[in-house]
Amino acid sequence: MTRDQKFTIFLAVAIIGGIGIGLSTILAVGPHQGAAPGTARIIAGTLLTTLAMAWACFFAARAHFARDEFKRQREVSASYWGGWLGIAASAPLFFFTAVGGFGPLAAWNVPPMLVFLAGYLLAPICAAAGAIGAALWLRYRDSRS
Amino acid sequence: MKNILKILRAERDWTQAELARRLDVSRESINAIETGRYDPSLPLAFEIARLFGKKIEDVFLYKKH
Repeated sequence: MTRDQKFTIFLAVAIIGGIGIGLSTILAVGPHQGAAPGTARIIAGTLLTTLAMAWACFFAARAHFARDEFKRQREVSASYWGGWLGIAASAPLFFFTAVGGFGPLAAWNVPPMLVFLAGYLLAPICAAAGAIGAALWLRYRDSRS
Repeated sequence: MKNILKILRAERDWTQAELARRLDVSRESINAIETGRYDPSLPLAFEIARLFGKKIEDVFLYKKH
């Protein structure tokens, strides 16, 4: 089996397994009903989310180390520089929101949990987008010669 | 760091893909090393030298910038 095949398999297992365990969390604890959550629901949800993240991280690491050193270094560079660039790009978005750029959305009565989720995900999504952008650029640069 | 990887490969009539397969790395790695865009780790450099039956300093030429 080639390194690329190993990488693809480990990455697929990381993503599909992580999402699968994450979805099982919803199945296990059921959708939020608005009532005060029970202790068992909180513990089960937290433990399954921990398991999903541990699964995803373990197999993502296996995927990373299945690559050769050149691709690993390129991946690390893309994650570092792209990630920081993405986080930097999230600052103007945050400022736009903070000064009321999304003010008109207030009329939509968005649930507070969704607002929290959007804020929680802003930086990691921007970091991931930056890392993907940097990885694509590095791949393009290396393919030119 | 300069190297004579391309010459050594040409002497054996190996493609980049063939050399990559023998070293268990990607063809992109070989291309990046040959064009001087990537300096391999010491273990890989030793592995390359060993594959061609040469000393590491015969394959990789250190040049101070």
